[in-house]
Amino acid sequence: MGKGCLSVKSLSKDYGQKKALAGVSLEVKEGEIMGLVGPNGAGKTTLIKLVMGLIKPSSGLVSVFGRDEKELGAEDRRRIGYIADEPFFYDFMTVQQTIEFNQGFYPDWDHEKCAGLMQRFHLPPDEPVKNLSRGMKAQLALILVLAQKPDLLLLDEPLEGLDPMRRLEFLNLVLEDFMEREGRGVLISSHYLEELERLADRVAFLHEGRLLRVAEMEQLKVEEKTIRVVFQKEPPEALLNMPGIKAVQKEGKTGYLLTIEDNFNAIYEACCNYPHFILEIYHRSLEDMFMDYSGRDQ
Amino acid sequence: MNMSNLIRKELLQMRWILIVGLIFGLALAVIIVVTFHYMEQVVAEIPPDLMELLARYEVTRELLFIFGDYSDYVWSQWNAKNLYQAGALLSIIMAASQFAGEVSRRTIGFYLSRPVTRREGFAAKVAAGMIMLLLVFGGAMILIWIVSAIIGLSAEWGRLWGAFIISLVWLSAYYLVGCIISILNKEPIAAGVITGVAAIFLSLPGLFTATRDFSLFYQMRAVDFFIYQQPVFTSLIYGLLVSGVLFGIGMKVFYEKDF
Repeated sequence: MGKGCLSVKSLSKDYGQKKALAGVSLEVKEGEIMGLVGPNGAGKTTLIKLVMGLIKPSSGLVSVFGRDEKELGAEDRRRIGYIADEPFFYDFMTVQQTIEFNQGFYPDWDHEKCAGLMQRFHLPPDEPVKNLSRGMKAQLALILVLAQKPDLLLLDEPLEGLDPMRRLEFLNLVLEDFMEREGRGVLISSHYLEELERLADRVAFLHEGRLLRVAEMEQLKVEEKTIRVVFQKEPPEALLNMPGIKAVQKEGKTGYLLTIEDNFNAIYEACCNYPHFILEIYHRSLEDMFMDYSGRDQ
Repeated sequence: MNMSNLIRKELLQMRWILIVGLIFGLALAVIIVVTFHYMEQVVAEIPPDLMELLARYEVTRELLFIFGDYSDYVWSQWNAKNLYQAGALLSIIMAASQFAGEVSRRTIGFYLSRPVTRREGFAAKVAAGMIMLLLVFGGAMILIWIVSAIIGLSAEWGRLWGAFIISLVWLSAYYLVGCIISILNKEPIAAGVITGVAAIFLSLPGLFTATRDFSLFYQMRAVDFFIYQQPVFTSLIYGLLVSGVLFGIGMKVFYEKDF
């Protein structure tokens, strides 16, 4: 993976006393898809809106393609594609007029891709946008954003309200487009964790405006596991306190449920080496992790 | 390219306001000219002794002034009355719809996520508003000119056009006040009402001789230029300066606003 497409440093956003985002730092590299995970109100939309310049940060820095967001000109902004959590278009325009209005901003507009996707989605060009369903609006938003050929794609809950077929199609198209050219970056927030797990290279966990963790998806798949072990006798405290063990839950007399977020091999080996009756490993999904992080402060 | 695209979108969005405004403005223009044509005949038929008696009263003096000279009549009915009243109304509707309307319809995110800077976004909206004012009232002014020529009424058109430009510049200043209020509001109706209330405050200084120069609406009538024979540039530069300051404030407010 290359240099940073997007970088935010110590980014905060306050609304009066409420901290919508508190000192978040993260980077989306070229050639990377980053998933943004967190419950409602975690600050995902705030973060994306800050990157888009729709809201101003209370403190911190946003830089896109190595330039301060405040200094981005039209040329840089053409390289950013954005789909809002609920895409709103101009009701007085038809589908075709919306496309024409949009393509006027992008000299490199991909007419072929636009026409191809219009056909694929069966979007009626002369239909007023106000008559489109939620799913059709999401499809139109995707057409607009893919035809503009962005280098950085910001997707804020783009799958919300779509049926499973459309969700899959949407993600496949994003992925296909992403693979077409090198050096692109994608930041996507979603509640559909199963889909995100399939798509993202890295994932960032946000909770109450704070960034709890950023991890490689592969690393999560390898490291994030749960070990269920019933020892023959009470294990030493050092084993249960090994680095990488996030939570220890006792089951019965000498049974333990160890939630691991890092250092899996060493912990597993230590458990194997200590006399035990049962030793089982469970893979933890992104959803399990989401539940953990969401409930961390509760 | 970006700016023209944005301006086109604004004009397309306000097309119904433009159509209604044009119909209203053009009808007004015809009514103003035709009314003079008939009223001039009525005033001419008033017997001289009755005229002398009526001249003692303020209203009659004003009537005689208005119908005594066609240029004065056009100014009094156009700049000093219909243009600023209809212009203020049009400004309120446009400004409220362009900014607060965009927020309430939740399209502001789409608008600002196009590859344009906030400054361009603001400038495009204001430019479209100015074009609307120019089309509606410039069109009406041209029609007054044409209909007058057809009926055979001659006027000092240089002075009237000068007054018109002054009126338009000051009307733009009020429109910009409306834009600032609209940026600060989420609801177009609230923005419109506040801009309307602001008009009352902005016209208050115009009621007193000592403060009238500070009234936007007094300036909008181009009284100093048309009646007191001041050079056209005095009011014009003053108006451009005020509009420029309001444009700067509007741009700053729009730039700093969270959407």
